[in-house]
Amino acid sequence: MSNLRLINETTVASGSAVSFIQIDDVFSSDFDIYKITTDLNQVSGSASTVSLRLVNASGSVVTASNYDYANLRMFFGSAFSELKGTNSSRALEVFGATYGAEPEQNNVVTYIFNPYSSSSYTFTISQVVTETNRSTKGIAVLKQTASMTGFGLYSEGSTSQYGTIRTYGLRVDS
Amino acid sequence: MPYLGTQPNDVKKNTGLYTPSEILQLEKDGHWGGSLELIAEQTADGTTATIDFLDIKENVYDVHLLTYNNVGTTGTDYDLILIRLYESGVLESGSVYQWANQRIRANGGTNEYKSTVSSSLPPVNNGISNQSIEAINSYIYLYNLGNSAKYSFLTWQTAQIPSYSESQIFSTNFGGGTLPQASVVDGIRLYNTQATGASSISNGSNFKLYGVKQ
Repeated sequence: MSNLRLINETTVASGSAVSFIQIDDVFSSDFDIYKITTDLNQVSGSASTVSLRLVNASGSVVTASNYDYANLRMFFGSAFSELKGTNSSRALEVFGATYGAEPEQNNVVTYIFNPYSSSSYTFTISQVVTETNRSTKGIAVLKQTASMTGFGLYSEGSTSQYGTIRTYGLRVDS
Repeated sequence: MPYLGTQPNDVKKNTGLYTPSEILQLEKDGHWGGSLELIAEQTADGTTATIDFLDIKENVYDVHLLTYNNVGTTGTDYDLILIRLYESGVLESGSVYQWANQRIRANGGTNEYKSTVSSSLPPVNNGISNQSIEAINSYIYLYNLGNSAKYSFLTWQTAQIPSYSESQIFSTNFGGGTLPQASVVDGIRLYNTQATGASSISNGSNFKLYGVKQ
């Protein structure tokens, strides 16, 4: 039997593309670990990294400088590089990056640990393939002991992005 | 209580506990999400260098999961088990694939591997031989195979005991790649590169292909 429970599916059409996609009311006491999958594109413009911001129990997007992150960017055609930071206002490249419209696409699997817990930080692990440019492996943490109920995909380049975001809870059977 | 209403977006009180009858009803409605369907499984018998998955339900799933379990070879050294894709029944073996890999070795060494003009996709870059402790274990996600309007993308992670010529030092590879052609991919080939002469995928090497239900 599957241990994944589909909690939310959000599709943003290309005609309704936005630079910040916010997913509310997906984290709860029901699950400790969540799996998020995305396929993203942008309508036009230059490449844009897609960052994570969490949404707290009051419904507010957390923009405080409490995010740490570290990514290894494995470029298909050039030297690999690290993208990392501490005390940032968002976690960069958790959702990879977007470069253009179809047939390009960004595919991501991100696991989020303990977002709803008010006594622990929220951690993430991501594995990404960003179009014909690179694959990225990364980690991040929000250093707040506060309950988070949602998340958002923030386009660093303020470019309009669209696609489908699915959120699953990982059922744990004792 | 599990949520049995309009799915997805069952955002409240979905503890994931379902009775068998509820599961049957959700499956019937096509709402039992997130599980894996085993599409096909193949185990090598040690006599062939290639294994093909040619019925992959690309029109059903937009995400597939492929696993390597205890995969070995019969060659003397540097054999790799790589991936090529079929487009509408035609094997793509041109230098069109793009990919990148990071290897981390248990002795602390790291390596970058990458290509934009590759004839295959490598979830592993470091060969193995026919010694019994050497093996490749991988999981590989494949996206958009059946979508003629999109490229095909893959991500993977591998755990491996490589060849004796690399001192059999445990290593992991992680990375991803693409077939940057908007086409319908309807088959997957796994093949031994036979770097040191004719060799096969060793007896007992197991491959499973799943569809990821959304």
